[in-house]
Amino acid sequence: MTRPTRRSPAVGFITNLAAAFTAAALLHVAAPSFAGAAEESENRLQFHGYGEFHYNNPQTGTMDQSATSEADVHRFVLGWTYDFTPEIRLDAELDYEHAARELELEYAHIDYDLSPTLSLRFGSLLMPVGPLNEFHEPPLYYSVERPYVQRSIIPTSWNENGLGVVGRAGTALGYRAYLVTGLNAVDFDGADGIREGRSGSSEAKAEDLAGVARLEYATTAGLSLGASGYYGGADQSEPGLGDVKVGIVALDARFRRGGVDLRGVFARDFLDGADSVAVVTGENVGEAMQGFYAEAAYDLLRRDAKPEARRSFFLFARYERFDTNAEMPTGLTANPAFDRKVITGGVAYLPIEKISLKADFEHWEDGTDATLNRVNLGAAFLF
Amino acid sequence: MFHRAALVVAAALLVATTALAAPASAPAPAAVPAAVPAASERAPFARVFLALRGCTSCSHCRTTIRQMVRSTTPGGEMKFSDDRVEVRYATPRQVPLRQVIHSLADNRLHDLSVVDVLFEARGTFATAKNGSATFTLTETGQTFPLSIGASLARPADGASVRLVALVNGWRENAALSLVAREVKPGA
Repeated sequence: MTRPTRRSPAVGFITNLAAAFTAAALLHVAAPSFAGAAEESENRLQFHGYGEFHYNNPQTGTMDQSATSEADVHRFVLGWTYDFTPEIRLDAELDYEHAARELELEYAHIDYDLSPTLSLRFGSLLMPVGPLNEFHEPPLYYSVERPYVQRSIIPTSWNENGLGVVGRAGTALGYRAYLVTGLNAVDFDGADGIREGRSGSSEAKAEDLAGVARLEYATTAGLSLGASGYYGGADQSEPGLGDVKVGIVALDARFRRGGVDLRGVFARDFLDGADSVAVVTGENVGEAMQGFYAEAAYDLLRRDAKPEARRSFFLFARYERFDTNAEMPTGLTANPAFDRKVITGGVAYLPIEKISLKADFEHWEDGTDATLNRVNLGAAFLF
Repeated sequence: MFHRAALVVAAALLVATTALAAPASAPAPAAVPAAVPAASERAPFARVFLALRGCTSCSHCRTTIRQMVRSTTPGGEMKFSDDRVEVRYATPRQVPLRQVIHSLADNRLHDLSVVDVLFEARGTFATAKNGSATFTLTETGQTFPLSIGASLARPADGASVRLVALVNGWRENAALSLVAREVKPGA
């Protein structure tokens, strides 16, 4: 269910970069400093991270009820921020996925504050599409697995190389707008749509670029709204593809108050040139892919009502429907197996807000009337 | 199928048991007082410390926190670590204490709350005829009501001191007042 292992020179570079930063951190801590200057230099380098442990029965990525179960250290992410000056900083994360079998750069960008509320950002950027891609830390969602709409319709996590701006207008409105390397359509497929076309920032083809933006509006009453758009080329001058364009529209809403957390997400992908992509890849690639989910959760311990409380116990339920063959190019027939419904219900206990113990149950159905039931257990942290 | 259902039930029971067995309220995180660096000879004119709880881990939240605070702190320099924000003012000036606090206390992020606020500044004490105390910041004339516990040595009125104080009133959106935690004479 994850991107295939890629051991490229870029991985070696990333490994060396991580080692260099670790060494720099140690030197930073150990190096003697002039009295008085210590306070000035403190906290320039800070670490953060997250991780999660999963048990899936049966394993994910199958509709075969008899498939084997699986336990996995799914993600272990180490990140750091380094403040070159109060206005310029580096922010990066490395993901040691599947117990460090796969090493991925989650993102690595430099922020340069142009004003208190506007920053220029360049490097490997998390795409601001949908509500989860930039907030993908596992204690921040209730289920063991991420919502599947934000896998097959909105690729998550998704980073590309580029530059752009991050800003706020007043206290309620936030925005991001980036110019980034485009997707690569030769890796699109029927089941997961555009997902595998992500470059992961590793030797990304830059023949085609894309623009991506997100607007967020939040009220103090607990309602937040988001709208994201993405549009760009995706053929990357690959032979036989012709001109391929990808567009994504995603809308999301969330309401939290009185222990209740309601969330809805809708996303639709448009693929112009799907017929040539299907020919080149041999995959049943749709020219439109669409999905949505609605989720409700309630905190039985009402952490929100008690200033000193730190524990939460959420009951949640989610309904998802997504179809990566929602519309097909002329001459191709939709594969009903790609029209999927998932009902997920479970619990998440957070002894503190940065630790989450989860258990849930998924019921899958697809357009062929195949069904599957899955049990997931998980533990997640962030710091 | 049965064993999967049993697994769910067992896991739910395990989680629920853990939840019920835990203390009614887990220990609060280290509040600001423990995190305040000792005042040094190079200490700035004033500092505001906001102790945070919640998500400060993701890139987007950190960027938003920086932008929200910096928009209210002209003339101040902001430092942000994983559980606190520090805004420092190097030279005497009006400190927009209420705006700084509410820049994060009224945040609309998905999970972030301000736990406590400390204020550190150079200034002088004064006692009114009715016995109430005030703290006036050096050179600016900015004044806050002040409470001083019996355990702290009270300096003479007009003596220059460096005060570290807990800030009250911001949760209720009322007038801000200070509760002295540390008083250093001659700062």
